[in-house]
Amino acid sequence: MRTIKNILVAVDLMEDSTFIAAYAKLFSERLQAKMTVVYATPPLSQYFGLYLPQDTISKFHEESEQGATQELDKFVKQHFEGIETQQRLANGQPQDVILGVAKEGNFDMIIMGTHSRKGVDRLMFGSVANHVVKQADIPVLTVRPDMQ
Amino acid sequence: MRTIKNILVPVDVMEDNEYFIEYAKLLAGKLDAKITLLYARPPLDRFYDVYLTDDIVEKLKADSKQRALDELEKLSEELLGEVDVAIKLRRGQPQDIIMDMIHSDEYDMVIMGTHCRKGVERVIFGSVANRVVKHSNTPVLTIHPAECKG
Repeated sequence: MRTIKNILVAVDLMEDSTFIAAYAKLFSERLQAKMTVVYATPPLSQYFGLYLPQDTISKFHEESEQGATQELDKFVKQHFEGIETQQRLANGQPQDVILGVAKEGNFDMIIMGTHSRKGVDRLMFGSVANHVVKQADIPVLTVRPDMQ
Repeated sequence: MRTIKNILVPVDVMEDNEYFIEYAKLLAGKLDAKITLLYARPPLDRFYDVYLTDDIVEKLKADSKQRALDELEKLSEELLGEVDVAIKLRRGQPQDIIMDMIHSDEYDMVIMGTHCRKGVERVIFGSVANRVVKHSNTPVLTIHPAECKG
């Protein structure tokens, strides 16, 4: 018999992830499953082409990580009050981060949004969900952001 | 608060369905939801250029329909036990039928399996799951069969 006791919830905090939270909450409650919320911060390598002194880059990196930690913490408090939830923050391409965390963490299910950003980013993020659905060893629940 | 009360589960009676129906059963139980098993039969056009009399074609159609219904009943009885199950049989391209059903707004979730076929077939099936994931206005749970995991 299948069980789902450990759910990985992938969020993109640059965008509204409330719609994912609603389903994550429903599933974790009904399945009595633990949740880990993972947020992949985009690699900062995109800025490396700019002329910036090394210490500016490290400072930038540090501040960005701090900001992301706060955002993640706020998100979890706001949506998952009173539910056993862990937080993971990782820097990297979202699909690699999500698949990597899923593999090492003994999860039974992934919940994530499909495209959420606009324009080119939206295409990119859409492909994240597509990539995870194709590669993941465990069931993946995809939720579209504009669902009513 | 979100609710999920009616889950659409597309199946292919020619293939293994057990690995994702297990999850459908688990979730229907926990969510207190109904399941609709959908089988979209591919069009029969491909037989039409064979020389067959009309009554043979009619009989073929009726037989194939009955067999498909029997298979769906069997899946429901053997794998879904006490879950409340509805059965739907449609004729047409699976991806179109699945999307039409989703857009009917009767369902609040889709659970579908992917099949680990090789080469072109895999690409084609991958595109069905991909299309559903991209365009579905309900959450979609996709599950790979164990033997595809690498």
